[in-house]
Amino acid sequence: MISLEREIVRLRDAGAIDPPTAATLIAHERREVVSLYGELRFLTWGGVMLIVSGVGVLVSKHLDKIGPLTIATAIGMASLACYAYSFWRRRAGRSHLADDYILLLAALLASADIGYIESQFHLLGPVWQRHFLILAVLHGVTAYLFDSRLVLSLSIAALAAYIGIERRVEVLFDSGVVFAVRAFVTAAIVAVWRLIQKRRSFQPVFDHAAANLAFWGALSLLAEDDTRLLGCTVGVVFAGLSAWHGWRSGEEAFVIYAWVYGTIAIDVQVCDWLNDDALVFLYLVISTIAAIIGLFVTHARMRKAAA
Amino acid sequence: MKWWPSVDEERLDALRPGSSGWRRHGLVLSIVFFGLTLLALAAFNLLVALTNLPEGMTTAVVAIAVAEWLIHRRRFFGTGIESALWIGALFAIIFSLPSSGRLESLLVFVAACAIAGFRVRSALFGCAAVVLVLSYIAVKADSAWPAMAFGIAAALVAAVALQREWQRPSTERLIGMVMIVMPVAAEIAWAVAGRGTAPLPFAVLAALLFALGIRGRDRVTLATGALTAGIAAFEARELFRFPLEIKLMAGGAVLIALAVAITRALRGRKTGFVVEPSAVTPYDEAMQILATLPSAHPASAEPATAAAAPEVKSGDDSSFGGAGAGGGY
Repeated sequence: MISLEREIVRLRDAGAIDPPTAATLIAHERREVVSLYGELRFLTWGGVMLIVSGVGVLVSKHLDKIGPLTIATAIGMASLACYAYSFWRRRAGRSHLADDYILLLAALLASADIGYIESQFHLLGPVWQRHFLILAVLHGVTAYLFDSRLVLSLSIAALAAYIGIERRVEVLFDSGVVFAVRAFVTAAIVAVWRLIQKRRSFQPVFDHAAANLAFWGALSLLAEDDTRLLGCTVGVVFAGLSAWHGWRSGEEAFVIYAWVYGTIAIDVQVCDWLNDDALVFLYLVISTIAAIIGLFVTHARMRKAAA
Repeated sequence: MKWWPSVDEERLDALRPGSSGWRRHGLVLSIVFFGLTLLALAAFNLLVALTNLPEGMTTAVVAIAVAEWLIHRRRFFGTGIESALWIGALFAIIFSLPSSGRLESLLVFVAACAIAGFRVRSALFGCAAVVLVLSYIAVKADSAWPAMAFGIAAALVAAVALQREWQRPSTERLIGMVMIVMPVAAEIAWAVAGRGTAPLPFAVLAALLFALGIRGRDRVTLATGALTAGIAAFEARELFRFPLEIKLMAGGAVLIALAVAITRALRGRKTGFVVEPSAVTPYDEAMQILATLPSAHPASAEPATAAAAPEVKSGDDSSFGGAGAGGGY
């Protein structure tokens, strides 16, 4: 195991770091204090995911034996119990590292239950997709009540599912205009939601969701000959917006999105125009090197500006 | 001429990234640069293939020359670019060689990963070399035991090696990565062979890792112990006759109970192992969000105008998995 105590002492003696900070860092290097916070959170998250997977298998295997009403009631009760626990903890003003994940379990079980009830009892009839909307609202309200970004991401995913966004990579290659329109609409709703809501800690979740949805929409337009140029243009415009947002906010991820998605959009269109293999490969070499240099320079400038 | 950062420079960078003057990137950016560089190299290799030049060797010479120029002149080390150039160069040579179809060709890839890993001090390539050795043993031996034994032994040796103090952070990263990956590689080799269950070796390894982790107060060793215990539990699944869903839910409940119990046991402690909130990086949270989403809602969703309500299949072939999540309605 490595110990950087020597360097910390040197920096402290040179006045680069103050003695209290140095003492804390040295204690960490000597492993006098080792926090297991992250590991225990991950353990709890793993437990939640196992339980949710178990519920999924239970539903699929025992539907005939147990009966839909019993399954729906049992999952609903479990979800309510988790919600009740979360409310009780919140009202009591107590916190535990498992709390976030008990709330996540409540939300996932609610998703499973509502989806299952709709699939079995057809309560919404021909507009069955509206159960996603119900879930989006339920998870959205829960996210704001408990300040949970994990649950907020479920709400956005439910909203996307309601509008018809499928979470499969293949849809980028076979859905074309229909998928693109759905992705743009969802991205727009998420962007508007981000603008009208006040919670600062939620903004990154909205930003990343809106950016990726918009880019996926643009890329799906590249799949068809008729819309390829439009997809390239839209992709480049989004790349510009993403780079501008990333530069302004100092968020590197949006600059990476801009270069990677933007390069893909341009490459697909240009390679379509070039009919000769040698020209295509030559172009790909040049464009990829240009993207590497561009990203490298942008990153270096962002770091310099941040310093 | 400096071949790579000195020990002092590496240690300084570990404390204050970028302070040594060597250019390096964070994990995500390195992955992006690595991918882009490999793409450029592949396109260059295909371009050379259209000429009369020997494609693999030409690509390798150009890539290594560029990588060395970047390292020596531009002080790139850990940007993702120079490592992609080195591994891409060596793989380009290998792929241009006539295929003999012999298992020993795996050892050529081992050598490529080891050489590239040594040159750019990459834990990933070094670990890939060890995994490829395990793969070679797995396909060469008649039994699955040698590969599993190698994987477990490699993880244990790495865990013991991690107990001593290392000077270079890159060396420690290599040892740590070997320790984490090898139990998983051993389990995959065992599972692919399909020779029944073997929870005991993994349980013993997990116990040893926990002991070493507690003794050295090392979180990485403890996390590997937890991972290996999970593998042992997975291997032990067929020893119990409970249905799969009960095993999954009981396992989940045990994990949560364990986390709660450890938190309670460590509550109030100010030294040694503590549960004081430490910074959870945005990447940690992003990974959890991305891993949770597939379990959230049905993957297949029709637009709101579709007429028919979804149906859930019942029985073993049902796709209604992940709590209503994975379900193909």
